[in-house]
Amino acid sequence: MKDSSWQQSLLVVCIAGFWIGALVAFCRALLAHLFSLMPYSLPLLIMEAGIACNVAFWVSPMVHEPKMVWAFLLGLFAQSAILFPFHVGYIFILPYHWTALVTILGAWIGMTLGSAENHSLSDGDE
Amino acid sequence: MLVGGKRQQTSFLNLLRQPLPALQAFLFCPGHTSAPGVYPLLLLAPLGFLPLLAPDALIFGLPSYALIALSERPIMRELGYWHSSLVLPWLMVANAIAWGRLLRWEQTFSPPHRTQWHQLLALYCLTCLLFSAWRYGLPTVHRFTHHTLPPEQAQAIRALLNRLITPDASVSATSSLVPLLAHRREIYLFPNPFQPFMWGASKEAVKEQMGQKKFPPLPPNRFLQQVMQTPVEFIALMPRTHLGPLRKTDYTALALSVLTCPAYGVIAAQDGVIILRRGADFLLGLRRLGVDASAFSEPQNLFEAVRERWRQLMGEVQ
Repeated sequence: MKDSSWQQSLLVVCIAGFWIGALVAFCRALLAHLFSLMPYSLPLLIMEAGIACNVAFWVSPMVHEPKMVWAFLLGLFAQSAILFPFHVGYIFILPYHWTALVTILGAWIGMTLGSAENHSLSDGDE
Repeated sequence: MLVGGKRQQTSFLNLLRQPLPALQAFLFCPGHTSAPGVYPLLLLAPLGFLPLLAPDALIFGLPSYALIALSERPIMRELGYWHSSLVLPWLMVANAIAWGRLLRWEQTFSPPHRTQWHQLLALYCLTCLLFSAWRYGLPTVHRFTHHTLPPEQAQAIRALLNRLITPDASVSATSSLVPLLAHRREIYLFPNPFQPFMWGASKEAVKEQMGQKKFPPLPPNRFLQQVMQTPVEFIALMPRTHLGPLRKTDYTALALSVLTCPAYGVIAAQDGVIILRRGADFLLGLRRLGVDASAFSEPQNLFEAVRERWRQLMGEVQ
């Protein structure tokens, strides 16, 4: 496997996507606990997109072209948030809602910003 | 039960003949308090689902997992009980192998990205661990330590039981007190043996354990009759503790019947424990409990007074 192989990008996107999922699950539980914010409410969706954006920005240098495809996959892997049960007892896996796909948008923005910054840094080096 | 029992071979063949229902039962097994499908996720989520990257190791845990997932007893699929320990070692081995594989893949990264890859893995695992500890670990620990007494009170209760209950006497006791009194020939989990509940190795007992059969407490007169006829020497009650397998309302109803039964008298009511002895002075016992029976001419009034005192002992009223 070479450094530029798609397998490496897939690996990064998979782990990073699951990490976003874990962070999103954490936020859903924490904000519901602290401020009674419901999962899939607007503030939480914005926060989820923000998390996806930040992680995508950070892993952007490890992912190769076409970045938009990998950003899309990253957003899809972030749906793994649903696999982290909300609580251990009397509770459930949260019902899925399509609005959670907002992470794809966040990942796109983060990946675009990340690659733009990489380009500007490499231009600066030249 | 799909697996186990006397005809394991038939059960195993049934699994092979009906793979889809078996797979569904395998993945969407309901727990005692958790919804169908949550149990496998609860096992994998704390490890970030990484053990799935080492299916060659995970497969060794499959028979143990099948035993738990296909069991008719949902309690086996609760994290706090020991049953999950049959699967956990294989999950840990698979997790270690998965980590090894993920770290070996770092060779595919260019040197500047290797550190970032390590950081990504570490952050992912840390997030999963922290989230699981908070959402699954703490509630599970709390569930099992909710009724833990301060060491001084526990020691006082043990001393009280040892002092007042002779080693060879038969006892019917609340579940929290049973382990302290278990080293004897006859020890019963209250309300046994007066009213059999989860009694012995019977089909009925299994149904009651699984919650398929509810516990209907006997009418007070009938239960009182059973108490009078069953020669158990001591009864040990504890109002403020884990009252299982009974619900609080059922436990209260039966405890009130016992406390107002003239065949038994309270010989001690201290440190949160009430000990009754067969043949002990009933009226004196009520005074020890804090109820002056001489003030009541009607049995119904006495019953109400005992009920009020019981509610105080349970902490429901001041």
